[in-house]
Amino acid sequence: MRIGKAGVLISVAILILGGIAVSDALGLWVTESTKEPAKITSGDFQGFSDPNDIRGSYTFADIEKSFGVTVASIAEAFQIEGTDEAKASYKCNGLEEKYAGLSQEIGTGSVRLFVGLAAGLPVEKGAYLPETATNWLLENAKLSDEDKQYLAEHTLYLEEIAKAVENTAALVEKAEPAKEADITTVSGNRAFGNTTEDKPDEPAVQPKLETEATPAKDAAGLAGQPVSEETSHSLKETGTVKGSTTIWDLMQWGVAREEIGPAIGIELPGDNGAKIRDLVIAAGKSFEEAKVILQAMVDKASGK
Amino acid sequence: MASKRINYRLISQIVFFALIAVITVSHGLAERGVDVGNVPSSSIHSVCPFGGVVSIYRFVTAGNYVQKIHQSSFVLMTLVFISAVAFGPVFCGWVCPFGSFQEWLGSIGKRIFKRRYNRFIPPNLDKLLGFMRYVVLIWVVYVTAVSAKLVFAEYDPYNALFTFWTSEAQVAGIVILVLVIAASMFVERPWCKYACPYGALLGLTNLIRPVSIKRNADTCISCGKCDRACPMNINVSGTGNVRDIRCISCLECTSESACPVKDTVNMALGTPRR
Repeated sequence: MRIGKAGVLISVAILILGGIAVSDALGLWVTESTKEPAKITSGDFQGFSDPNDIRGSYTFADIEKSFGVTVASIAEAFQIEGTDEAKASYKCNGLEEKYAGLSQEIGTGSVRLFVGLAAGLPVEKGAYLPETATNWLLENAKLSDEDKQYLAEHTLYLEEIAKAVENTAALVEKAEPAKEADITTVSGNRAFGNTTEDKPDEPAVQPKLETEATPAKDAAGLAGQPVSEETSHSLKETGTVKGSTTIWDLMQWGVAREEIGPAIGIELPGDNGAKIRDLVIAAGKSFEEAKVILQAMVDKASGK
Repeated sequence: MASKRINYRLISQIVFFALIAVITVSHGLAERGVDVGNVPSSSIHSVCPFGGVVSIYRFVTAGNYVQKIHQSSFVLMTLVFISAVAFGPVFCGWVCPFGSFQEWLGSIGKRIFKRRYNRFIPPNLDKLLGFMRYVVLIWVVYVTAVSAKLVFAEYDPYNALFTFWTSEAQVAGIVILVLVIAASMFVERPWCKYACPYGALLGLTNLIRPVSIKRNADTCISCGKCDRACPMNINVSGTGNVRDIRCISCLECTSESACPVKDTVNMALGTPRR
C-alpha cells in the first residue's frame, strides 16, 4: 500500500492537530503550571488555601481567586500602577526587580506574608513588607499584637531611604569614590497600637546610612535604586536564593552539596532538582531563615 | 507537470511554523503585559515534544516535570512518537518549524551553489558527523536528569529563533542560531543533520517503521535524482528499502517529487518489490 504526500499531510494533521484537540477536550492539554496553591492540611484552617504556597509565577489575579484578597489591594500595597488588567496579570516575582537594591528583599515572600495576614491565615514569618503594605494591613486587616510587633520590625520605609540615598549619593561620590556606600534599611522599631489610626507614618528609627566602606548586605547595591542591567547580570551570575532555587542551582553557584543539608538542618534527597523551599517547609522549618543562610553561602562561594 | 502539483509538505510546514510563531509571540507579548485577547499563547517549551522526552526521567523518579515543561509536552511527545513509529520522523520533515526554517534558508544556498549545494562535505565524513546527534542526545538527557532543569534551552537554536526578542533568549542559543543560519547556506538542514538530539531519537524509528521509502529496482533508471533530492544526503538509489536513521520522511526522493519514473520510489507499507 502506497502513501503519498497528501496521505502524509492528512495523517500528520489528524494525528498532531487532532491529537491536541482530543487531549484538550480530555483536559490533558496543559501548557502552564496550575496556579492553585496547596491547601492547609491540619489545624483550624484545614482546607483553606495555604499562603505559604504562593509561587513567584502567580499573578495578583491568581491570588485573588484563591485567597479573596483583591488585586486592587495587593497592587496598592506593593505600589503597582497601571491598568486593571496590568495589575491583575502582575506576577509576584516582578516585585524582586521592582524593589531591587534594598538591604532586605521584597518579593514573593512579602506577598505570602501580606496575603496571609490580610486573609487571616497562618503564614511563615521572616519576610519584609514595604511601608505601603504595612499601612494597608494596619488599616484593613485584623492583626494580633504579635503581628503588629512583627510588622514594626519588618517594614521597609522606602520613601525615606530613597531620599536619603539621593542626598548622600553625591556626598559619597565626592568624598570617597573608591568606597562603596551601604545603605542599610532599618525598620521602625516602635510597637504599633491597637487602633487603625496608629499607623507607621513616621518611623521611630530613621534609615541608617553607613557611608563607610561596609560590605553591602545585598547584591545590588544602593537601596531604592532600580537595579541596573549590569547589576542584574551580576545577580544572575552569582545567584539569588529564592523559592524556585533547587539543589542543583546552589551547586552551580559553588556551594558544595554536602554542606547544604547541615547548614539548614535538613536531609537532602538524591534528586538535585528538588526545590530547597519545598524541602525546608516539608521539614517544618522556616524558608526565610534558610534563605539567609544559603544566600550567605552562595555569596561566600562567589567571593563576595 | 511537477510545477503544477500542490506542495503538500510546504503547506504543512507553513501551517506549523505560523502556529508556533503566533503562539510564542503572543506569549512573549503577554509576558510584557500586552493584552493578546483570544490569541493562543504559551511558552515555546510547552509546545515542544522534546521537552517531554527529557522530562521522562524526572517524571518517573520524582513524579513531576522538569522546570518549564508541562503536560502538553508529554502529549506532543506521545503523538509524535506514534507518528514516527508508523511513518518515520515525519515530524522532522513536515512539522518541525526549525527544520522548515533551515530548509527555507537553504533555498538561498541552492540558488547560489546550484548542484554543489549540500555536497561540500564528503559523504563518509557527513555520515560520521551525523552521529554527533547521538552525543548531543546523551548529553542532553544526562544533564537534564541530574539538574531537573532545561539546560539544553540555553543552547537550543530553535528556542532562540522564537524567543530572541524576549528575556528568555540566551547568548549561547543565539550564537548557535547564527551559526546554523550561516551553515544553511552551504548544507541543507545542518542542525538536523549534525546536532539535533530529537532528530537523532526519532531517526531510530527508521529501523522499525512499517511504512518506509521503497525503491523498485526493476523500473529504476539509476539517474540519481533521488539521491540529489535528499536533504539528508541518503543514498536512496543504492537501497531497496530506506532504513537510514537520517531519513526524515520528507518524500522528496519519491516518484511524486524527484524520481522521474512513475511508481519507482514510494513510501509504502510492506516489503519492497524486487
